[in-house]
Amino acid sequence: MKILLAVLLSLISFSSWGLSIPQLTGPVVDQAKLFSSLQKSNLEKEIRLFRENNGPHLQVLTINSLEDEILEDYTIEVVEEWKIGDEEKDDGLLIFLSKNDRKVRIEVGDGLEGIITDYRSSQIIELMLPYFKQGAFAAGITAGTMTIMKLIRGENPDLPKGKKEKENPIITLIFFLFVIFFGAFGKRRRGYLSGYSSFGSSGSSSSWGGGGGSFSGGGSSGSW
Amino acid sequence: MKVICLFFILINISGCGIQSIPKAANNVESHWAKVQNQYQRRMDLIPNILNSVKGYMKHESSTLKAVVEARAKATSSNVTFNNLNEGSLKKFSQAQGSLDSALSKLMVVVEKYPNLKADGQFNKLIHELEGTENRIAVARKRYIESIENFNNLITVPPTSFTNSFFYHHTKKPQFEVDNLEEAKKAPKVEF
Repeated sequence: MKILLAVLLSLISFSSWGLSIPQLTGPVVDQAKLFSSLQKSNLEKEIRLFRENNGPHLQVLTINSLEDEILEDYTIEVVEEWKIGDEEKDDGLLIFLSKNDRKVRIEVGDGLEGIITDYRSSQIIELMLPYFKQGAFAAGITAGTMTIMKLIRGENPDLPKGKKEKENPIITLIFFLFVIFFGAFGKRRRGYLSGYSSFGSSGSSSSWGGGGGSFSGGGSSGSW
Repeated sequence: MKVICLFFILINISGCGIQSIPKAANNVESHWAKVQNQYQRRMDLIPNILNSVKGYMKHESSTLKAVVEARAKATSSNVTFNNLNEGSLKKFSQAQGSLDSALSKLMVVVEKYPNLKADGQFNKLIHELEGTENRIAVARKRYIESIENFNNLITVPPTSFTNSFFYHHTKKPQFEVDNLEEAKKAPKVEF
């Protein structure tokens, strides 16, 4: 009887969410299928490496549609559910994109608000939008993620100021495609050299999860 | 035998709110502090915004004055957790609400000044304001959830018995629904 009640209660609490929250499967949760498998594995590798070396937990989520849910309400639910970031450092950050709504948001954990201020988030979004306008979603998200990594590492990446368009997104796009291609090529070669022993020991199969970082709603939203 | 009895009583009590009621009260208190904190953050931003706007808006003194006055009123209507009740929360919400509308009027006026919109400092502050509006919405939502839990514990049996025996907490006030709608319609700045 108690079990039945528990099941019923859990059903109720699930149905009260308008839009379900996907499973946290890895650094890039690509529900909208915007990444090729190569693009995805490359970005995941970068994010994993960054987390191992620097700490902060960057996370990417793309979905097809918000289904009338408010963007900021949904992203805060996602980060609460996934518990992105370390419990003490609160160093989580979510890059979220909804394809059909043409909306993007960066949700910044409490511990990163000092570095990735709301204004900086808006600049990073400004940097990604030209890619999205051309449908180059994966390249745009990759460019944004790399810029965030640079900022956290204390480097000074070029960020768009104000409303002006960047010089030429196509050149940057080609550059990133090149990097992605080259990165994959390099990886494959390394894979052959090191033999089969490394297969499956690192990369997409290793575990990925949140640590209980807290968020207060900082960040920025944009649309294209 | 006595020990066993005491043991069972303790087990029973622990499910009756003796622990969960104070925990819920602390939770409400911390969430209320966060709500105030985020509103305070907004009030701290306002003088900077006004300063960056002043040079451009020579002929909008009434709009600016309205913001200054609403801010002053909001500053004076701070509510500590112990004074948190229907009346004080209503006053607080009203003061912040009129600051909301004064700010949105200012943002409408800003549209008339393209030079201002291109100002780097102003741009920065506006994004911080937008982020803060969202933080306020998040803090309010969490407060609302914590209140729901707390009010349930002190009014729904069996934990309500524990409350009336030991703690004598009264219900804490909830944000009103029309205020909620207002919070959702917080000034949005699109460029």
